[in-house]
Amino acid sequence: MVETISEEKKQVELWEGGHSPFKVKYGKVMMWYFLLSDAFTFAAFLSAYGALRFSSPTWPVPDFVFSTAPFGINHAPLIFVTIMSFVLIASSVTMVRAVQEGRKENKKGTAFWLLLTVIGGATFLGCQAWEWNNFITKEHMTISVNPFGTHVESGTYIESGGHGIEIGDEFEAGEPYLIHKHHGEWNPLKYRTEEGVIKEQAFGSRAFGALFFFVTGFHGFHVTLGVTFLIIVLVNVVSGLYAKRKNGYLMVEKIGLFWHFVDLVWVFVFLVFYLV
Amino acid sequence: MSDHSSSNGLNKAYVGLIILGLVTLLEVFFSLLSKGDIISSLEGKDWAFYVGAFIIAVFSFYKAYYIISHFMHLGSEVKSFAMSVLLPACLLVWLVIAFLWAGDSWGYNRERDNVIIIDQAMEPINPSRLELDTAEFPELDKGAMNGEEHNAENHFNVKKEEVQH
Repeated sequence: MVETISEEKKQVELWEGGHSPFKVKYGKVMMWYFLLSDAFTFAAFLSAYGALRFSSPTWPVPDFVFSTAPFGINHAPLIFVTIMSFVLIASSVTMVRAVQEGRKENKKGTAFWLLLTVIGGATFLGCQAWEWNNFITKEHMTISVNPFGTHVESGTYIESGGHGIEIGDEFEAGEPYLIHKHHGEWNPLKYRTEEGVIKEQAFGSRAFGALFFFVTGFHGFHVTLGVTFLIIVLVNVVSGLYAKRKNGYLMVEKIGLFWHFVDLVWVFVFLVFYLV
Repeated sequence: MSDHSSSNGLNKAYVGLIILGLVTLLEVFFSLLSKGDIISSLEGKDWAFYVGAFIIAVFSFYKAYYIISHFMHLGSEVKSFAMSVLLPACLLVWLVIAFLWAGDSWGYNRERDNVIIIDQAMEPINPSRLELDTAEFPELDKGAMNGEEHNAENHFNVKKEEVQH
């Protein structure tokens, strides 16, 4: 009984001021709460994706949509985006190393690992730029037009084109396709259904393009911000500003939290857009 | 130094690299498997999609836990502070459930409306389609229902005339 009272008293005193009950520096607390609010924003975007996908009769098939890679590689489902994920994970790991070296007040080590993190972040952005460019200039997906469709019934093509589709090619329900553009004109291929009705390829769910560009763009914007701040912190590390503060490179730790958060968000963007 | 190394002496950062890398590879493997890219007979199978999605989601949440707990060190912060971040985030569980639920309902409504529109467009009006099930609405009197039917027929005829013109 006596013990519990003194324990409670200690708890009250802890919150009366003059102490840090959380034992975390102010800047780090605020970074955490900012990240919490940012997590809500991203969660809202990703649930919007989920709601619209659930409400649509068909949805683009990710392993078909994301099957191109640089150097003319086609039909390599999810390979390029897996490499992008590895780049981001690796840059998160180099960030952990930078924070470790900072806590040891090792200026050279901190600067080295921060530099590697910046390179990792920039590489990821480069990959994303390639991916966007491929969608916009080669596959002509925009925020309101989605050429990635999915067949809802089986049938036979009565037109050829679209890179490898011949007259007489059969397809089944659930098979994905990409509508191609020739000289600025959309060229949806005609097909005959099993009942003999002639139809042409329909465009895919229109929300897909808008969601893809908006959500991966918002994540890319965070990566851009992160790289910018990492460069600023790197300059300050090299100039010896944080060494003078003698607080274990706290600023490196704070930018580290933000950088890990960007990696954390990518885990879910990767899950929702690419894997499922 | 000791707080940066695991028991076998390897720096925790590199342990994280191996774990996250392996889990990501597993995720991609299960994703391709459930879409039928590895075993083609699984293509288009609903159960494969749902089982695959569940497994991948579990892996993703493990990755999230690992990043938050070990890379961001929330696991080693004071518990009350960690809870002040994690408990509000639990609200997101309901957000996701509610929106997927709502989306499913929008899809159902859209499909139902589409069926009605297609039926009207494809064939001349069939009065029996518009008859309400009197067993379900016993309080409705037959007269009101006939009125509705009449209106609907008129509406359809007007539409038909417009098309002919």
